[in-house]
Amino acid sequence: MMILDSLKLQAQIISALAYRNQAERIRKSPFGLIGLLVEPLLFVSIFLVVRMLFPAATPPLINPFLHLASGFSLFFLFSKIALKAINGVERSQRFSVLKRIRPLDVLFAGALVEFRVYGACFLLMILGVSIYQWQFVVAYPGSAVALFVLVALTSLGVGLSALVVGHRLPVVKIFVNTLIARVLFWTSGLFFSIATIPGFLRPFLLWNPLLHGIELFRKALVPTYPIPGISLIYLLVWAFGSLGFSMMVYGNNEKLLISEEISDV
Amino acid sequence: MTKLRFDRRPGLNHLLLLRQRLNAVRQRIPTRLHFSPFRATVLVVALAGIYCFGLGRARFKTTSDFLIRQPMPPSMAAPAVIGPVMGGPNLFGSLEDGRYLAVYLHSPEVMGRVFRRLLEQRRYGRRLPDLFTGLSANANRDQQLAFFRRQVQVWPQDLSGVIQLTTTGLDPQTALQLNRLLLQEARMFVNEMNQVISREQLSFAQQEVDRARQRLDQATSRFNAFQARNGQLDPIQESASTSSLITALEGKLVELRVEEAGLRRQFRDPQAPEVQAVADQVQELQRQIQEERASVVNPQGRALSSRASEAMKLQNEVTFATEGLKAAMLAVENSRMESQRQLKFLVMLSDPQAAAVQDWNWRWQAFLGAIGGLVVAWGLVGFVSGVRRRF
Amino acid sequence: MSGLNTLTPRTRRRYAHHTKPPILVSLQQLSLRDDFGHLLLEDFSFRVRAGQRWQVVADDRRIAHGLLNCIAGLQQPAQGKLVVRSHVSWPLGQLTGLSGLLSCTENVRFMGGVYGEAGNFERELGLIRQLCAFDETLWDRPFKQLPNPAKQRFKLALSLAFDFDLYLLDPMALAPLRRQGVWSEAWQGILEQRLRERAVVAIGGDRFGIADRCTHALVFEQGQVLVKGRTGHCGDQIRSILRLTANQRKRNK
Repeated sequence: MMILDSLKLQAQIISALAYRNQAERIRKSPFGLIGLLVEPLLFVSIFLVVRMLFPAATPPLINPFLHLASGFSLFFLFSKIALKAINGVERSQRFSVLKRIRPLDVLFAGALVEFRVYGACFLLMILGVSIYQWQFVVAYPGSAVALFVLVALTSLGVGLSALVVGHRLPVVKIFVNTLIARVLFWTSGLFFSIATIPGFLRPFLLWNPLLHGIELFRKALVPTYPIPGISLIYLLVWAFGSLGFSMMVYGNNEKLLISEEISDV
Repeated sequence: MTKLRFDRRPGLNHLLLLRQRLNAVRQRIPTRLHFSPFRATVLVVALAGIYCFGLGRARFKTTSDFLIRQPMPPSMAAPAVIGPVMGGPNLFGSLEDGRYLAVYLHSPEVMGRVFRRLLEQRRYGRRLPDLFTGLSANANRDQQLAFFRRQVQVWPQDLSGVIQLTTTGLDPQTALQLNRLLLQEARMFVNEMNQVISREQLSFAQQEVDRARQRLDQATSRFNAFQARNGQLDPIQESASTSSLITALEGKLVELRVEEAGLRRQFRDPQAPEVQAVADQVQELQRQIQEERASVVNPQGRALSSRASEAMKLQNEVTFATEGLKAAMLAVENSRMESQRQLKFLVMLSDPQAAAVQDWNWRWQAFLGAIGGLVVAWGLVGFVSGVRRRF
Repeated sequence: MSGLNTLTPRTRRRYAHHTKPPILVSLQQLSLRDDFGHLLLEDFSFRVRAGQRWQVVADDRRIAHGLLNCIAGLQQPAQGKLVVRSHVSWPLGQLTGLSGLLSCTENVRFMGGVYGEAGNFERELGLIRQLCAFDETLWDRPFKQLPNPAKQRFKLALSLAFDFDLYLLDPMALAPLRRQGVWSEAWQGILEQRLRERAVVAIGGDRFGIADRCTHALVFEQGQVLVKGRTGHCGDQIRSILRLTANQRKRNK
């Protein structure tokens, strides 16, 4: 009972922090709430135009807009949450007086806001495509939502693990940061499908858990979408393994979650 | 010890009593044996290590490699620039067949033929002290199938087209026997595939031959019936001979007319008997020619034109049916040759051998998996306990 | 008397089976140093139980403030252990962490999500509006655009509006309200309510009637505990220390 009570309190605190985070972002953005959704929509539109100007040699396995939209939404979700988690809680953000708020709550709240923003963005895109085609384009909505959540958990786990390990080995933090910001953009299936990749290259790409998440998500949209070598178990192992590892190392040592950078504030 | 106070809320009293009893039990246990997270972790790791590297039964793997190949047709014998590199149609054919084989070898039918035998001999039965490895004696068919599928891996290799068959057993002989039995099944599958395809092709071609023969018989009997009705062997020829007769008569008519004209010039009197005789012959010849012409086309007469065209039509049908039969028989022969050409063969590259040493992979995987699970559980429990300490 | 009725509902549920007043905060063998590393306090142990209202008086204000900050978790002790088993407020007037971009209403909503019961904030918002008595236009303006006295008043109102098991009061923080002439019955009412219903650790002298309501006193002199116990037994010591500190202040001026 007490655990449920405490979990409820934790959820309440995270929700309050997410509300504050979101409200601040809306205030900072010149277009308000719409401004939050513009970035991913813009990226998808630009790449869709490029795709139309240079059509692919093989027929598409899935609606090109959905292909790009799913890839970009999940990638941005992953990278934003992971990078935010890797960078820890800034000292200026510390709620040192408000003892009920712990640094982990701030990171969870940040992840929740990103989840809401990119979830809303993707929903808008789905709605647009469904209206255009006059039919609902998601075959398994439950699986799609579950995979969205799983990718968010994976990114949180990866970010937190890099953060807590990075306190001892700063090179890990730098490596993961670079990997997420630069390498994953090209190797996570944003522009290609794993089925179109030659067989001898696949084993290398399949190490990337985000690729599994994106391809599984596309399969939830279109059941006939081929996903050779993609595994839900692998994604689950990454999600729970990285989260469990980071929780284990973090324990209750909140210092591990504070950014070591000194803010100008 | 904190004194407990009874509460009116239902259920809480039982929990309080239980807590009191647990505390009493705990106080009787020496402190060094009290539960602590560190001790629990050590215990779990120790148990996992004991099971994975001690109690767990050894597993043995047997691997064989083969290729499904068909002989190249003469037209494909010329080497292409990238043919040898890409392997040509044989590579892709082998991969495709490998994938079908993978599905087939995991099917309940194969399991029924191959695996049941081994299960009856209790080769995969559970045995002390390891109660987790193996199949329980009262497993149902679905459980048996799932277990069987875990013991068999079929991997078509993308680059080379080679198909690798790996079987797992709890002793080397079982793994070897399973591998051999499955290879037999694979050969039977390939042979049956060949037989089924050629049988299907031949049966279709044979059906076409039968149909063509039937058509020829029908056309011939219609033609013969027509001839019997009209009492003529060949109305076409008769029509041709009647035409030549008419032509001959017309020739004769021309001669007689010329003679008549000569005689009229010679004799002033047109009633002269010599002129009359020739004139009578001309008339008679004209009348005969007209009669012959009329009887050719008159339906009450010989009606040679219509009969000739009908006879031609029937004869054409017979000719066409004959050609059809010839083509169908040729197709049967081609189909037979083609199915010979398309025969596939299972070519062994590496025969299965009994494993000399056990497979250690599963032990390390299980042990590291246990540690991974511990990490996740630790993290989760740590998180929940942190949450519990919130005020 | 279990003291459970002086706890917030959540903490009361947790201590439902206790017969004695639960310990809210426990300091064990605490040592305090100032910013320059000088030892202020050594090997000091202290417990606050539910329902107790402590007046902490010291000749050296740094000790009293340091103790308050330690309990609030804002200052790390040089040695010793702090065990917190209740919902402790921040020292009155030391509230930070509000967002300058959000309006006062939005900040109350955020704080309500963190400290309110079941995330509700309407009741607290009403109370804060009553205490602050701002013009309506100020409520929707970004917090950073408010004048400093308004910010101060808002923070003080937030500190008293939410329900805690233990309040950490520095009466000096309330002094600006008197100076601004906005110390109203509403402020007095809420202060008295907290003093009556909850546990308190207050430092300093008798301002705003706080000392009169304290049940226990902790008196320091020259870094040592002079007396610790019920106020009935410590009256003289409290008065002598207060006189000392008042004289010191006059000399400093």
